[in-house]
Amino acid sequence: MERRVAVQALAGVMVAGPIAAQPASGLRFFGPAEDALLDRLTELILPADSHSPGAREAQVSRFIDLMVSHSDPQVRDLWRTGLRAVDGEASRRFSQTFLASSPAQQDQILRAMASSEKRPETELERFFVRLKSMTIDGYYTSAIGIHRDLRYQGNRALDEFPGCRHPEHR
Amino acid sequence: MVDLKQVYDVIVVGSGAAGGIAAKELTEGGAQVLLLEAGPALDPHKDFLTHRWPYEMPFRGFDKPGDRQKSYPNQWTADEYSRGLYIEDPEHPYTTPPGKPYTWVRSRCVGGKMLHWGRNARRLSDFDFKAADRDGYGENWPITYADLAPYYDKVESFVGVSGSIENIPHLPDGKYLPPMPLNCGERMVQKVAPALGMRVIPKRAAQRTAAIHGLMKCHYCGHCGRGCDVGAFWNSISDAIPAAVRTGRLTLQSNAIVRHVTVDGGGRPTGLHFIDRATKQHYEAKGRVIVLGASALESTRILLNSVSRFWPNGMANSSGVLGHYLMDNFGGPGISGLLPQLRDRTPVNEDGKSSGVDIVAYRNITSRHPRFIRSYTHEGGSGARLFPGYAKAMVGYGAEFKKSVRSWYTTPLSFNTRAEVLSRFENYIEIDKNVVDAWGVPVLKIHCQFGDNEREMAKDAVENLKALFHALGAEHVRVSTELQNPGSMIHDMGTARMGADPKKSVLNRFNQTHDLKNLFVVDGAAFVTSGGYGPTLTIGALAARASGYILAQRKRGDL
Repeated sequence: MERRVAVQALAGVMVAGPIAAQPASGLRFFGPAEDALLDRLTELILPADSHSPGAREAQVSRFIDLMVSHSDPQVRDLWRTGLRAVDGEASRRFSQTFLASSPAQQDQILRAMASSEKRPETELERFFVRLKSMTIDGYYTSAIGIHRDLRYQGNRALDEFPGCRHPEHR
Repeated sequence: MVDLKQVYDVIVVGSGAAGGIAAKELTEGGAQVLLLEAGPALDPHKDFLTHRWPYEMPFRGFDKPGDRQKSYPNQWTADEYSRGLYIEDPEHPYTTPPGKPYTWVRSRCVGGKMLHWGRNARRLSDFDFKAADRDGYGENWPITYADLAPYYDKVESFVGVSGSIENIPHLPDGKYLPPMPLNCGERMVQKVAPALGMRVIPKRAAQRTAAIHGLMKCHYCGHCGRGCDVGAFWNSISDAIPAAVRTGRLTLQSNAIVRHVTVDGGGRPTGLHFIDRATKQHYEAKGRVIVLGASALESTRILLNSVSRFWPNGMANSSGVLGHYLMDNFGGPGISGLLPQLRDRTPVNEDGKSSGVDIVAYRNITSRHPRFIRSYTHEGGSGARLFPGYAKAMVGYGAEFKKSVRSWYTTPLSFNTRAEVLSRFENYIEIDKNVVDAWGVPVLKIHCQFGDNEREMAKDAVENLKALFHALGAEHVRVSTELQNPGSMIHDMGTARMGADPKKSVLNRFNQTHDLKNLFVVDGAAFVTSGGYGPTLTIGALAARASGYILAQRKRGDL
């Protein structure tokens, strides 16, 4: 508990304040520094690969900003403190922000966050579950997620419904 | 627009399955009909978001956080795309006793819940109509399958039901358009199921695989639940109501919230008292015959609110059973999983038919189960769905995780359970004297609970589904055992049941009240038992049959 308070206090210095100051950014709740961190985290969860672009190009952080901005104050707090805790962890482990950490260091932190998905206990573990869920929501409802990654073929008019075309199941 | 001076031959209340078919049959038979609908007429091309992509929606289809809790907490099948087809809960309250939640889903608009219904259109059989004869529980219906079969034929031929001929005694075949082809996962289930005593057939869906008499066929976009922009499934705004309009004998009055049935000096129905949804002005429309088809709970609410010195406990309630024997088909017990045999395939349009397969009722048909009476069915389907919901249950992150989500995209398979809920006197509705809705109409207090029979069925159903998924080699299997609140299947039935004995029932074998010859209830309220699946086709058939009776009685001068 004591450590968490300390981490939050430290992180508070590094993370930008509330939104009102950055109307031009298009952000509704998070500050630019928070958005940059969120953008990186979502891209680490669903990265670009040879098949399709990732969460960054799909602007998943902006989707999360929209949803969180309309959420209850308690939910908004969980997001803000969650992001602070990520930076706090980077600060504790590597004495720098998460974004300033190397890819290997970032992965080390994310791996720790994701180590207990089915039964999250620590603040970071719980934040990871929340973050991953919202990243999935944002990415797979984006045009990139639907058309370029999953290559979904529905929601179009067909003259006849084809059904199963695989010979082994006919 | 309603003419308040005119005495209509028949006033029909409600414009969904029951009211729509009644209006069509009655007008085609020569009657001048006034159709009263509590909600507005929607424009499919403007108000239905049928083909909208998630990224074209303000909140990607998840809706604005908090909006559901605030505006439509009980309308659980509604979402950001379809919520305009449902009521808003705050202006349509109802009450329940502590610890007995009931989920009441409603659509007040021309077409009613048919604008977004599940399109399951299976016939009941004498296994249902004469169920009490088999196991001694409850009452038989006052009709047999033979009585209703011609009306099933009539409704199916008019609305278009796709299905296969199967020759199953307890699931009679109908007049079908070609069935929809099965997806790969559905074929796999069909092959494996017989070894477990289950039979898999294409869903019998009131969704057209061919155009018939001017009605469109399905274009397989997959979004029936948002309202069909071309009316390719049975919903009265594209079939029954236009047919009634074509006769020149239909007057449709939307935004008319019926409060009660008006009576003459002898306590006989003379018309309906209604409230304009927008202005809240009160009016009375006059009719010789009153046909209620506003849904089980709303029709009975009207009767319970129709109190006078003649009917102190609700109109046509000499039996004392008006409001009682409320039923649903339960939901909740189900299973989902992923079929590894279908991994890494190129996605094709698999969710476009929006209708999968049925597992035909297999309990208490030829043998007797030791722990419960009556039966249940499963509805399910397979294939790539737009949103990969299973991803949230998969651990990991990064490139491998993303690849894995893609790899499993073509593999989902899921089944639910729909069951016959027993008819019980203690499941009932009454008027809550302390609460009114936004139009000042006293609301319902709903008392409804499942019993041991339902709980035993649910347990049995889940075990059988687990065995099926095990036999299929499904992975990432998720089982749901909890029963949802009563009402959640949106199959509200009973509360003004039919019966041969006027002391035990409200309606006779023609949906006419025992007490008043010019008052009929033609929706789910009339049901004596709940069957194991959606009541809509039977509602349509009963409404057609009752309408034929009304026309015949009118011809004889009896109405």
